[in-house]
Amino acid sequence: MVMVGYEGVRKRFGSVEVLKGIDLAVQSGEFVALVGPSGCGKSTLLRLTAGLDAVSDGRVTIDGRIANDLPPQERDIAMVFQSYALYPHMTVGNNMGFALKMRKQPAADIAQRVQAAALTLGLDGLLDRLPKELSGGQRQRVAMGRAIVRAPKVFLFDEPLSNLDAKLRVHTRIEVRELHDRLGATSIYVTHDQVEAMTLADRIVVMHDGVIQQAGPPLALYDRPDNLFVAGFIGSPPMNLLDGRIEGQDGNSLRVALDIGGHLVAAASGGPAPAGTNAVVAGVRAEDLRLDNESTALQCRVRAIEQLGHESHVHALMGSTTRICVTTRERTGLRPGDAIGLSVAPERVHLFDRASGRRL
Amino acid sequence: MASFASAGLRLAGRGVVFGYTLLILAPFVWIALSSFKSQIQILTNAMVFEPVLDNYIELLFSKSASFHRNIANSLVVAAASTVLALAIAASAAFTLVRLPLPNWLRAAVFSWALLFHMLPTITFVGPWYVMLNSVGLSNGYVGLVLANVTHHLPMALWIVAAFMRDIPEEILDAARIDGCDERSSFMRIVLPLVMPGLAAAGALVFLFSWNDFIVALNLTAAATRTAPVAIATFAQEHDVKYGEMAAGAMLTTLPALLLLLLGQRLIVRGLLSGAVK
Repeated sequence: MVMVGYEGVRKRFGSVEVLKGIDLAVQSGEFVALVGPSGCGKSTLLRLTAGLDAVSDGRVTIDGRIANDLPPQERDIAMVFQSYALYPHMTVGNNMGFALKMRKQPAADIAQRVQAAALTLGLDGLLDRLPKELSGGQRQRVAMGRAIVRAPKVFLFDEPLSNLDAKLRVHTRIEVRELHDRLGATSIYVTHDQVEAMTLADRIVVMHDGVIQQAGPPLALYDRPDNLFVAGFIGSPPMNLLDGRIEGQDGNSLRVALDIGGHLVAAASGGPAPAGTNAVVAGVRAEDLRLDNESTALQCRVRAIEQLGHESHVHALMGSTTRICVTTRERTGLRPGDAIGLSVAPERVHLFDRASGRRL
Repeated sequence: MASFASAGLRLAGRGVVFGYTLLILAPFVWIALSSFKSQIQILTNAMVFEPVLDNYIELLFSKSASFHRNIANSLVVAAASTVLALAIAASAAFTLVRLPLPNWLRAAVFSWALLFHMLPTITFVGPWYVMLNSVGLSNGYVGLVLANVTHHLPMALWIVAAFMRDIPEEILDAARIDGCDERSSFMRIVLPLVMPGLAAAGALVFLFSWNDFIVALNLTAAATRTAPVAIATFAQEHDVKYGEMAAGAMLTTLPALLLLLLGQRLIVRGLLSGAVK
């Protein structure tokens, strides 16, 4: 069942079109992450869903009801903001119970629900404190508590973890997902952090320039990015992208001559354009590249090595400008300046049309 | 050499501070001392004297005493002006800062307020008198309060608006999602958050209304005369009652001084809001 639907949704601020026709259906109980770089329109889409901004064109539906003209309080949604947006003059308890108070719920009912939410989030004992007396992590929990107390149909998250330190962010990320599962809620989560999106979401929607680039389960986006933007955006370290031309096809294999020198063999997945004319971009994930001194196909020189303990990122240069990153779990003993050869399995090479950016 | 120069500068700086303090304090001390002197002692400029309370007694408890009524008038006018100015300033600032309005309109209102505040008060006194007189309000509290509010509203508006701009947009977004319309987010969220600004603006409006002489002189009659105007009446054609004047000035200063001491931090914060984060 569709809980939140977008049909041809556009948003203009003056002459600038920020959303250029969004079509998306968020299913009931689904956790959808909207990701993209700054200015891609993800937060605007969330604000349209919340009713904080008006839709310029198209339809937003919530639980089957057209919500375009509904004020925020009638949409049965709750939102967690990046800055938490707690009311500084209210105690934690009053912050959490404010929405219920505005709905004129009985005081006893409010107290009981606030207490229950506080217990869930480990905030009991803090209910009489003011937000300024709390740590960043506690404030974040209060913001979550304020949302869950209302038991809304849809949770909207606007980069709620970006003000937390790295360790707390990982911890809270898990809690957010657990909470979502426990409440059986529908969640739309905006983030620019693709790791957060990958770990949290049932489905990721990658946006760029006001347009949905690709929507799908995290691993589908990772394994089969639809276009160059998604290929470059999803994955850390980002996919290595190398310009080249298709030289020829041998059965199921395509031979790609790289502009920088060297070549790659890619598995053919469709019917590519005639050999020699096809300008492509070959994408290879860092973990799919293997250090292979026998290989003459990809020759490069080590620039720097990042040791992470469980793996190492080897940053190398092909030719004089093309950067390439290789992830390896071996203790290689490489040093900057060392010459290395790389190889990759043909089925791990992604090919994109250079002109359109689409996957071949 | 350098340390000599900087020591000299520091000394000069202190000299300026002490000199300025003296400049402000000396007349005040003179008035305070005069209020405890007899008329003869004042006129002979006696430096050594036995303090007497005659001036205060004459001012407050003599048969013809009306100064307590003047103080009460001042209190009524200043308090009413403050409440009214704050109510208008807060709702106007909310409308101008937080509601969707064309930018030119916002700029026009704030610029006009600033310009109005820069014009000398005396410019308005004549027109106000004519206007209020024509509707029969020239001798009562209402006319004076309206004039004070008009006069001090721009300052209050600027101060409260600066505080309102500091409220993060997301807090008001959260309030809308929690079920607030514009009225309830103003009452429940915005007003409590700009309370320091309201206190600062309120203290200033109160002080300016309390101290106002020129407007009150023209818009009050004997029954509604405020303290500063009453003090001026002690200087008569054949007799200047220096002692009562000084005692009146002291009594008038006290509430203002008290308010200033209590609200000083808020006033400074109010005036600096927007300038420093």
